[in-house]
Amino acid sequence: MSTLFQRFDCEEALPRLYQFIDAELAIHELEAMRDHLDGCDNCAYEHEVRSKLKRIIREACLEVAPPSLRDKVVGRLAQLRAASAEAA
Amino acid sequence: MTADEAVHDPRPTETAHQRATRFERDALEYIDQLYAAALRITRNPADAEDLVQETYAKAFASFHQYRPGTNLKAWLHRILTNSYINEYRKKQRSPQQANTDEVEDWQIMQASEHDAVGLRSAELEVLDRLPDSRVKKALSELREDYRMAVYYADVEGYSYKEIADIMDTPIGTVMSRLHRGRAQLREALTGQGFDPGHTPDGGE
Repeated sequence: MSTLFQRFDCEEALPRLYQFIDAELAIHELEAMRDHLDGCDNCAYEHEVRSKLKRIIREACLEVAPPSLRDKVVGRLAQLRAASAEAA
Repeated sequence: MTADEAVHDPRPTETAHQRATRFERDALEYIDQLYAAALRITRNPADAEDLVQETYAKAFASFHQYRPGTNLKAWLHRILTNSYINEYRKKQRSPQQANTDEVEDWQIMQASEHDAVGLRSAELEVLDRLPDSRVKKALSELREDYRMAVYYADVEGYSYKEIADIMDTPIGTVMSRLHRGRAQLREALTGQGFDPGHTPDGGE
């Protein structure tokens, strides 16, 4: 199926669009996908929306752990170290 | 993950003390990413903090099993996910969500996802103006397994294979969860997702 001149129509491109956005598309299909997106307004639009949605989700979900949580984790690890040192 | 780490495995020769020090140095670096995942998964800060602490305790205890040079953050996220599924979810009142409806029909569904042209610029504008709080709320309303898959793919940028390992599920299931979760998010956030007029079965 991978010929030098592979082309995608919409029915082939759309089911692969998330894989393309997620950098999961097989290398031999990348050119056919890019070529299709260049020539198809519908799929290019889907690509734009889905890429944007992915970016928005990432930006909305970045968090910084509360400093108190870091302290609690460090404290708990110290306890575990002490316990394992005693056992040894 | 660097080439240096892949070359050198300190485990055979290090003392317990050295290993504990190495754990604290390397694993604590990811506390923000573990907290972010825990917050999305548990949906509240108190449970998220408990889950992160539990994750670090478990990871510390099994750190000798972690293979240097592999993705430490993904290893920690896997422990976090397992801990949540095995312990925290049991405490929740809500009934466990069944995984039986994951018919792999999303590829068929996708073929009908073209939207009417007139709505497009509006949809893009909506996405541009969404406050983070709306996005988090929409994510929190997704089914748990969809939510995790979307979080790990979009926020952490894990590969499908890594998500499959973290969630202990086949890659095809990961792709299905991603597709469904994202379609539902889009629907919730923009009122569009796919054109229901073209899917007689409703698409779900």
